Amino acid sequence: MRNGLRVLALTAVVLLVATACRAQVKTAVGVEGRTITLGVISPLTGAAAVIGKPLTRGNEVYFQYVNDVLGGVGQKLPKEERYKIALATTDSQYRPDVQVQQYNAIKGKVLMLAQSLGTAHTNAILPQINEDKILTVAATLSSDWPKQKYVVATGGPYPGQFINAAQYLKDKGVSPKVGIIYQDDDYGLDGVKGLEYAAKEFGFQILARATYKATDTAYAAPVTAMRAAGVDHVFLASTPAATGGILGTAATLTYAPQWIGLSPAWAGSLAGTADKPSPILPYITQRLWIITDAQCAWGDTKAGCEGMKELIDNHKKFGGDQPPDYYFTFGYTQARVVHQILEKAVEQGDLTREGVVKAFESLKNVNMGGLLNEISYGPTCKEKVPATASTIWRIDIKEPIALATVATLDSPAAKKFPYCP
Amino acid sequence: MSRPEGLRTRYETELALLRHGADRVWVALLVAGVVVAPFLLEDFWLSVLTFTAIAAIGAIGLNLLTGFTGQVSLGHAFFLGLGAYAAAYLGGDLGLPVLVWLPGAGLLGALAGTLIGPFALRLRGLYLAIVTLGLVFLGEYLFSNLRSVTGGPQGRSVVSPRVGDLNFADLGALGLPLDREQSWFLFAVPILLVLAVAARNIVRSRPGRAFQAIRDREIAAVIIGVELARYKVAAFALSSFYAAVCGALLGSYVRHVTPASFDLFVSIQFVAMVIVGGVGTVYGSIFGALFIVLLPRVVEQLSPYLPLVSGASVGGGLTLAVVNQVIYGLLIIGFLVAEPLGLAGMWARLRLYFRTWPFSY
Amino acid sequence: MTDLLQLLVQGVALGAAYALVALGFVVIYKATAVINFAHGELMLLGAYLVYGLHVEAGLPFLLAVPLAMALMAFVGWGVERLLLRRMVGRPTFSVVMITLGLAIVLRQAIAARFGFEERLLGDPWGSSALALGGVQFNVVSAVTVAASGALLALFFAFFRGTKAGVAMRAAAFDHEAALALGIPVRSVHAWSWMIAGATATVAGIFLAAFPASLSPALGFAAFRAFPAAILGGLDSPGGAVVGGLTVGVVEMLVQGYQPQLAPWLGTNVHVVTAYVLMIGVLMVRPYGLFGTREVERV
Repeated sequence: MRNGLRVLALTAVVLLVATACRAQVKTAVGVEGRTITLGVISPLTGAAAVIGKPLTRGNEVYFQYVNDVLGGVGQKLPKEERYKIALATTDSQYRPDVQVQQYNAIKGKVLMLAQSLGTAHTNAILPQINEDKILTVAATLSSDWPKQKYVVATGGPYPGQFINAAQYLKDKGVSPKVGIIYQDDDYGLDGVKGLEYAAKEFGFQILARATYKATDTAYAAPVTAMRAAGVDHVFLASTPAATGGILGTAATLTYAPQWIGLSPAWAGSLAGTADKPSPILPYITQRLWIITDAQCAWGDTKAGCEGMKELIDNHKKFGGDQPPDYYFTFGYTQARVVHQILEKAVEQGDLTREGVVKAFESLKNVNMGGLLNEISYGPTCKEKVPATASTIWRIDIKEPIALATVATLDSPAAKKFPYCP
Repeated sequence: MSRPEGLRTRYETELALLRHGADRVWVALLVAGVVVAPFLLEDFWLSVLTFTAIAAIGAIGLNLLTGFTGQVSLGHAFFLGLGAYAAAYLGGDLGLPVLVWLPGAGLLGALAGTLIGPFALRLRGLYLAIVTLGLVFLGEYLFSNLRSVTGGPQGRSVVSPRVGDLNFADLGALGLPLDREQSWFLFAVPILLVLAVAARNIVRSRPGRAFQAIRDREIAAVIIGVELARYKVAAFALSSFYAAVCGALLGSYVRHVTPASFDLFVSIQFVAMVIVGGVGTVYGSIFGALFIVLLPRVVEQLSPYLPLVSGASVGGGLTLAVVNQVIYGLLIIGFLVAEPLGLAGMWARLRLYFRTWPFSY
Repeated sequence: MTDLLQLLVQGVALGAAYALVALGFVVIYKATAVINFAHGELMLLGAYLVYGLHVEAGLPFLLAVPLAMALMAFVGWGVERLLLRRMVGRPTFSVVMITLGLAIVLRQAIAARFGFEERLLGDPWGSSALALGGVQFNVVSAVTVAASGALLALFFAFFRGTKAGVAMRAAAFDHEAALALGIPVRSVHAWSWMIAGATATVAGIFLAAFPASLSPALGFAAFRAFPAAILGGLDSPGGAVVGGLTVGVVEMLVQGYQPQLAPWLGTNVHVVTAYVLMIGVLMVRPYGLFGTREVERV
């Protein structure tokens, strides 16, 4: 007892003496002089790093563009007065508890969060975001974000994408026999929600549902379940490793329905490269569609895709280490949205946390140069729902990220989905 | 003439918690430190210390089971999760005050421990370890599927510790100049101290000696009359109580729990706390918790000075995140190989060195 | 009915892969009484070595595999020599924890070097499939089954038939008696880790085979194989194979039929069925189906 007591007391004294003292004066948090600090909480290790690292790189490249080429935030200010952006990047390891710890680590020095990746993970820090009033850009497309005051949703929510896909099938005159394979978490469940709504709207039945766990390696069960129910259009709310396993198993079992996957289901490695194609390339070229937010293809420079041209230029200049990647685009685009919010805040003369929230709510009709649908927000839930237009892609190994456009559409049903209570 | 250490002439001195006048001074210092810390430390460090205090409760529990009784358990995360969800349900759905849900979560954990304990009677050593490993996976499955209580894979929010209108996590509302981090610190640390003293008392008394007898030589313990069944189950129940209390506090502090928050990695972290801190000592568990919680933060602060590590968050090679995890693993290995008694062992040796100086060889 | 057969076949394929992992566990346990929690990472390292040698360095696959096995044997030897030799005489729990620490370090090192993207091993079987009586399966699954059968036979012959094998069993049973008989216990330990390293490579190759892919997440697959080794009996290679096949088949069948037959059990029960099965077997036979009963001396 004695030992322990002494040591504890000693440790307490040492800690108190050695650590920094409380600041007596609170300044505008996250803004020091002419530098704005933004927080990033992203999975940089772990299986989700295939998404987190390129996404964060996209953030970094865009902000570097703002700092070096545009001179900083505040386009209407003279160059010396503009604000440079600094990032406080932390690794969430794709674990909600680590997300919370990292949030605690950086909350004292950031103006807003430029990236919080993961639906469950963002939910984990939601109570604190609300209390600390820190605006957060969620790098997930969950349909819950519009209901939140301090969360910025940039892309069309997952349910809407499935609804758009169903609309596409209806427009082509197809009477699909539908099934869904989904990951057993809130992302997967979001997909289910969307498909159920579409089923009601367009009058088809979901003949089979199957889930899988993220740690599975064998997918015979979900695939045979689809086959047994006679499904000819399978909606897929999965992640790349599972997509590969599911489609590979289907190929082996010579079962070839039309697969429709949400954006997280895809990764370039599923197709392989031109000289080292993956064994399932022929199968997925024939049978897989991916549906994402309406956006220009990588490298597409036609009219309406100026944002993509800017991205390609900046990618060459600042991001050469990052191969072309869908998530890089996503992160770049989100950083662009953050930039718009900050510009608005500077314009309104209020670079505090409250000011940033006000700026977010007053953003209207901002053109994203084809990188994203036009963005418009407002103080109510309905106004916070991002545009729901989607692009459907097919696999084409000759394209830079192996995706080639099939169609772009914006179904009224997708807009009608009850995102808000 | 000062008494040589260990020589006791009266029962009271043997049993007393604070043996010397000097001890009272140290206790006073400790208490003073705890009271004063919220006003001196930044929110960030207070948050780290609160995490430490809560984790230490769990570490003490695991030490009681593994360090004192020798029952290997990799399933600690399961009991933590049980406690957290119990707190969420009792405090949130049933609206009970913290004075009810905190002990309630603990008791639920103890109950679960009593059910698991009998397995230890049948299985030895490593087989028991694997079964407790199975508990973790079973826990994830249960937490994901009992949606009405646990909210499924999305998880659920957990309430703040309140009694009626008094919210221990927000003492500022009472008019005191305390924010959330300060309030939590002042709430969690006293709970740790109470539970640590309780553990120390258990260890020094008959059940504690029974536990250690089981750890050292099970068959010999049976021969001298230690009832194996009773004490093994008791060890599990006690350890699970502590784990559940830790989980409940953790859930309330972090405010949102998901099944993924209680996976194998969490179990390993607690085992690491026990190993690094020192198997078989209560204060060692607290050290271990401090070390394991502080480590990633310290590495982050030191990263500009470490060679080979790229400060960039992304990019290939040795990023900060990777270094953190590697150091973590190396620490576990290092302590086990070089210092099996952990930090407590190091401290004991340090004290011995100074006490016997200049004859420290 | 074809679905049942199909699931059974896939279950056997999965089980054979688990059996390969379990065999690696058993080899180490049989010779050193240690459970190696780093086996999943050794498996991963082996598979990535094959990837590096075959895909990155361009060696032919059938050359890359034995080379990788040899390298992994060296790694196993290194682990034993550097870490575990110092732990002789310490409680087995500490040794087990060391393997856990090693697992953490290895996983990060692999991820730092190779990243988290899925990669293809480039094995010669690729996605080729066969059909037999209405049931389709991959050629690589058949190879997996054959490989685990072959390894089992090899181990059986080794442990029963050769002097070295018997020496290993003796050393595991009682260090001191073995030493007294002149058996070099230290070498025996080193040998078992080398064998485990080589076996892990094989297991890794087949677990990463089509339609799965190679990524650091594969290390977690080892956790599904632990129960297989346990329920078969930690010191029985035959038990490992039986356990692996059982776990694989049960997992597949549960995943396939539970949603219809017992929906109240919720989703993804198949993840825990292996552990439930294991606990069930352990309650009846505390040392696994084919494990030897330990005798405790006072």
